[in-house]
Parts: sequence; C-alpha cells; structure tokens
Amino acid sequence: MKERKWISKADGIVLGVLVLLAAGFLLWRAFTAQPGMNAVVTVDGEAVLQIDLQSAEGAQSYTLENGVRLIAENHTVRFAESDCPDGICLKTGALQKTGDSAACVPNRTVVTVTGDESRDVDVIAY
Amino acid sequence: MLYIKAGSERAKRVRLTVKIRALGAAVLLLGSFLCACSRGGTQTPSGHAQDIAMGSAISVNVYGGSRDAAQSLCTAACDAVQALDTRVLSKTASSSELYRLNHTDPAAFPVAVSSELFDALAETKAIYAHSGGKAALGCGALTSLWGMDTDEFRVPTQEEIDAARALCRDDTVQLNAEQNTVSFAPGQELNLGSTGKGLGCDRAAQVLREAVNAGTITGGVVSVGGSIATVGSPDGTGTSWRVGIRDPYGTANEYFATLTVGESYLSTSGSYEKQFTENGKTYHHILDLTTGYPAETQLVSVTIIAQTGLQSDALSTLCFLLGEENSREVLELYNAQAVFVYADRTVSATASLRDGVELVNDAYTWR
Repeated sequence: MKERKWISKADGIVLGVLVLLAAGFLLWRAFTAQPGMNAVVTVDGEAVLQIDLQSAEGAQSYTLENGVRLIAENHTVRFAESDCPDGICLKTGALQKTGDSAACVPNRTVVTVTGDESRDVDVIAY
Repeated sequence: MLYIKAGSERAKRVRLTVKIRALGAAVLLLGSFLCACSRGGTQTPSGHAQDIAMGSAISVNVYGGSRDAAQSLCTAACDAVQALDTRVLSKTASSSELYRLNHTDPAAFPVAVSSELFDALAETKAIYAHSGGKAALGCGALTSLWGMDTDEFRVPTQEEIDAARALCRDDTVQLNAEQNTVSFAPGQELNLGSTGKGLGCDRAAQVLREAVNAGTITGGVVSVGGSIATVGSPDGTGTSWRVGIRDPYGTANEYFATLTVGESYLSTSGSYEKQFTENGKTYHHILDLTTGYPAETQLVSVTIIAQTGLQSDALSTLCFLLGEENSREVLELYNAQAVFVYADRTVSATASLRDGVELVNDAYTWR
C-alpha cells in the first residue's frame, strides 16, 4: 500500500496562507505604526501642540500663546523660555524617553513624551 | 507504542488529530510572536491626560478598553482632582472651602464644613498627632511665613518664626465629628498642603476604580504631583505595576529604584523638592514645627506605600520628620511600608517591602 504523507498538499496550502497572513500583518504594522515618539503639550489640560520627535533633528522652536517657548532637537524636547519666577521647567532639561515629563506650573503648561517604545516603569513617584 | 495499521479508519483519525494539533501550535506560535512584536515591557496606555492642579503637574494613564472611553475617563479623573483643589482644599484660592474656613472671623467659631473637608482635616490631624509636635494640621502660619504656599520663598527672622511657631499646634484645633464643625485659635491657619495631593489620588483612583469594575478599562495610573495611585492592572490579568522612585540627586525624570506593586497608593517626600538658596544656604520645604525651620536630617527622601492616598502623603511627610527609627510604630499602625533614602545614597526599606524594591542606579546601596 502507498505510504501516506503526514502533510498533504492541502495542509501545505493552509500553512502557506497562514505564513503569508502573518508576514502581511507584520509588514502592515511596520508601515502603519505610529511614529515612535511625540511630545504632547497641554495648557490648562487642553492639548495645544503635538511635536513629532521621531523626525525632529535640527533645532525647531515652538512658541505657545502663553509665551512659553519649547525647542525640539535631536529627538528631544525642552522648555527654552518661560516668564515663571522659579524656572523649574527650564531646569528639568531635555525630555528624551517615553514617559518623560516637564511642567511649568505658573504657566499651566505640561509637556510629556508619548510613544510605543517600552518603558521600564509605569510612573515615577517624587 | 501501539501499532496502527496504515490506511485504516483509525489511522486517518490519528493523522487528522495530529494535523489539527500541529496547526493549532503553529497558530499559537505565530500569535504569540505577533503579540511580542506589538508591545514592549510595559503596556502602551489607551488614554492619557495631563493638567496642572494643587500647584503641580497631574497625569492619568489608563490601559485597555476603547480609545474614546479611555480618553474621556482620563479627563474625568483629572477633573476630579481639579475640582477637589478649587472647591475644597486650596489654601490660596478664594473659591475653596479651606480658604473660607481660614478666613472666617474666629468669633463665628465653631463653623460647620462639608464632610469631605471635615474628613480630610480629621484624618490629617490624627496622623500628625504621632509627630511629637513636629507636624500639625494647624501649621499654616509657618508655611505662609516661609512662602511655601505660594512658592515665594524667603527666610524669615527668628522673631517671626517664634511668633508663627506659637500658632502652629493642634491642641487648639477642635473638630466635632458629630456636627462636622471646626474651630481654632485666632491667628491659626489650617493647611492640607502635605496631604492634598494624596487625597487627589484618592479621588482620581475612585473614578478609575469604577471604570475597572464596569469593565471599561483594565487599570490605570494616577500621578498628582508625584503622589501615585495604581488601580487594576495594565492588562487585566493582575500583572504588577512598576513604579520608579525619583533619584534625589538626579533630574525630575530619573529614578534610582523601582518598586513592584499591585493596587496601591505611594507618596514621596524629599528635601530636593521646592528647594531655595539664600545667602549660600539651601533650604528645603519640609518644616519641623519644633524648630520652625526645615527639618535637619540625614534623610533625603522617604517613600510610603499605604492604604489610601491621604495616608501615604501624610505619612511620607511625618516619617521624613521622625526618621526611620521613630517611624516604625506609626507605619505599623497604618499598615504602611516605607523606603528611606539617606544623604550618603544608602537605602533601607521596611522588611516586607524589601523584596519588591530593586536598586537600578549603582550609586545607591542597601544600608
């Protein structure tokens, strides 16, 4: 009697389709995934600006309506100018990783880096 | 092994079973591969909101659920903190109940307050009763004098400090729980500055808790000026949260240790926060009422994990003032855990928390 194969032609087709589907999904993800990093800027809780940090290389300056100036450069963002008395926002320095955040309390402005990149921690207690 | 005759009905069935299993395995393998590619070590939040409240940045991240629902929940949680601040707790905004209480003519005492404010006052007073006079609900005269409430810092004269210190005590603060009434001595000011952020966490966490119970999201993380609440879990399967503890010698986004926690409330009090320098001397913001000056201590930060946000916030200030040895009793009383960080970058933690703390900066060592 003829020896039967464990994988028939039909099985091969099903497996092939599965592999193709998976490859297609990965390719689709690679092209449609959000750009890795954005800086979300809010004033009084309202989003007023979103900066694409993925493509931010040369220094780019952004001035908000409240006079706060931000600079995005080399995939980072920082407070560059503010009329607040304490200057805490300026001292925070450049934000570079997902989850990094800086705030100017007197100008009610918060900047947070968001993105798909994995973080080591969910939040920082301070 | 049992011999099966090739070509028999039984052999066909076995082959089919093996094929189905193999296909199942292939699908599972591909599935897990795709999952592994689509996210990193921690989950990506499904919603995020940030704002300014209680004199600091607040943020809410939630996980799971639809993006629209997640986003509106984050906003709702932020709004709950905002409302608590402007309506109840603020010491400087005339819209708040505490402001009105502090500006009440003492001749009108005792006055009734909302149960929300009353409970916050009563619990803060009860916790600071363990401070040996170092902390008090009625500490407003000194925090105002140093400019702590408005971030307009200055070093007062000794005379000013002595006068204010005489007003900073809780034995003259009367809280009547049956009628929700409050009275205190003329010149005294009540201050919830060291517990308000924690209470804000409680309010925001309540919003997230209800959403987790309703199945709208799997969990979320709240930060009110660095006081933290974690609710539910990132993926709905009880996975822990990882919380960084700020590096007292680093920038605002650096942490020296990580804590692995379930649902919990955390607060850190550190001398690095709200510092100012005058005539070459640096002053921090945690006042010791027995001296009227910022606390002299070898500690640079204390982090507390407690049962509520208000408790974690009040206990972090209290334990910073008391020091590690003298904190044991009150920590046990409130079933709370603590991480103490010293100026020489040595660290200690209460016994049951020790295993959950990982030092991630080589400059720090266990004591």
